[in-house]
Amino acid sequence: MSSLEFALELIFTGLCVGAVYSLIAHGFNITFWTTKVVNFGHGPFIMFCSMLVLSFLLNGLPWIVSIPLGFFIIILLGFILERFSIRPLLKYPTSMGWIVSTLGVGLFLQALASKIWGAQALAFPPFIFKATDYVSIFGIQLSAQYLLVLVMALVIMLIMEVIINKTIWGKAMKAVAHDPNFARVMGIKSKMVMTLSFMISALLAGVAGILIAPIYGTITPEFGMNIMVLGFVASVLGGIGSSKGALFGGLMLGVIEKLVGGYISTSAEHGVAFLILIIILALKPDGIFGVKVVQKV
Amino acid sequence: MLKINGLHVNYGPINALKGISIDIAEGKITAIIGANGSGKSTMLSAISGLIIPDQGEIYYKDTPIQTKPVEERVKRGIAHVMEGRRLFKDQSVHDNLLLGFYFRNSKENKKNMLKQITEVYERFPILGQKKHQLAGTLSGGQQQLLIISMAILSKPRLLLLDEPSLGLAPIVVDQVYQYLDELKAMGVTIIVSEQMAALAMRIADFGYVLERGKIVGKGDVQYLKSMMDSDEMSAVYFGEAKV
Ligand SMILES: Nc1ncnc2c1ncn2[C@@H]1O[C@H](COP(=O)(O)OP(=O)(O)OP(=O)(O)O)[C@@H](O)[C@H]1O
Ligand SMILES: [Mg+2]
Repeated sequence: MSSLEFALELIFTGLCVGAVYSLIAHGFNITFWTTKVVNFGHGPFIMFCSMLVLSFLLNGLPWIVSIPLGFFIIILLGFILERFSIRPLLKYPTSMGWIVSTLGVGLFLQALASKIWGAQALAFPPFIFKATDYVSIFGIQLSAQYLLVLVMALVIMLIMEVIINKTIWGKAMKAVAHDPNFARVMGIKSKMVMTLSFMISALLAGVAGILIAPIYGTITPEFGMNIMVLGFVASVLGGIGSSKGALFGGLMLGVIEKLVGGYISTSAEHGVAFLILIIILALKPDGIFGVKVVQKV
Repeated sequence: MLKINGLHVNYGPINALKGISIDIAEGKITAIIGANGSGKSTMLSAISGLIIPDQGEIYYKDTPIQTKPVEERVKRGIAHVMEGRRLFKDQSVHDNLLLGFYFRNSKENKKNMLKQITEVYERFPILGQKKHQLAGTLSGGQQQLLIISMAILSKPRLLLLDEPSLGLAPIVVDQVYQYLDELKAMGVTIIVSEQMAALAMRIADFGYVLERGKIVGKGDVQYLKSMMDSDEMSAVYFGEAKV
């Protein structure tokens, strides 16, 4: 393989995992918009959904049933998270309780997963394509599974973008994000929109889990937390709250990570990710596409 | 139309409203006049439901509504133009109007959505010209016209306006007030809060003077005008209520 091909392949793999980071960053954004809460339970949601789907598969259910069932349960968990550990705290805008409550729910899910499925790594089967399926584009061999992940992640983000900017429900969500009390006066059920945002965010976590699990090959109860940190880096890198930021932050992080992995060492991948975060934050504290958050009463 | 009985609102240890009772006549414009911190916004928020009072009743068309959520009061025909020129500044003028209409109208009315938004553009052509611009890029006066237009897209029976003239040039204040007069002529009951008694008196049929959470005076325009010349009222007028 030529050195150019090697570099292109690293960039391609980087874009694929990066697209999943973007998806995770989007998940953070949605709940951040509506409630100004960074949901530290997002990672375990990613893990829990893939664990659920895996166990359905192992129990003989087909993909077509396992995935929707997993999504359904994770959306329900998103609903429960908002109702019982976010909403009671929103009455006190200065409370930092959400850090404890979202992290607490996350750690609880992680412990629950260990209890149910054990702490060891479980093999996650490839989805639609076999691990050995390749597509050849411009002379480079691309893994079909990776390509699928990239396309799906981009399509989902595109759909979300359209929903948020073009439909009345998306506009209402932006309205609640901007000024929940004014939104209420305009007849928008702000609290319902907040709950919905957690349900959509949970679904995005679930999707990210299902997309990344076949790439990793194995999943553990901790993998969600680990990958969430990367999604979080992507989000802060791009500017938390910005859709463009989530997309580019994720893709950038993925590519840099894989280039470091390919040319320096795979064990340095994540360390470098944080180094980048620190440098970018020092230069641009609000992230690349950062939007200043104006606190409202 | 609206009757308030012994209304108390506390923010923690702060008593913002200390037993307010008022009676609002249907189809009239009532002014609530008071200095900074006298409790005007708190009172309007208690009527629209953004604040649930600690004590007292609010009767709207003879039904107590003081514990009903905002959405419910919106449905019954109460609209609130909050202080501080609230708009969805990061969305277009047109999207703001859509948001003003969509969630407060019945399925039946939604068929007329675009027609009614077009009527807004006809009434205020400047909004039509700028309909694709972000609301935050409008001038203060244009924003206020947009906000009031949004508020009345629900065809409210009771319209609450919190200091609608604050920070506007006199000519724009005229425009806003003229519009309120039109709405009154269409049978909308209006409550408007102002710091400037002289301003409110230009459109109000009746007024209440609010001082530190209490009603200290009420009466028709003549009465308020006469009070304006006295010391007490000029203190309120200049926003420097005496201790
Ligand atoms: N969210 C709040 N928390 C604590 N105190 C509040 C809050 N909102 C209002 N207050 C207090 O309640 C009192 C009445 O405030 P309110 O905003 O109703 O007055 P206002 O007449 O509307 O004043 P302004 O002309 O400045 O708008 C003030 O003392 C104010 O400091
Ligand atoms: Mg006020």
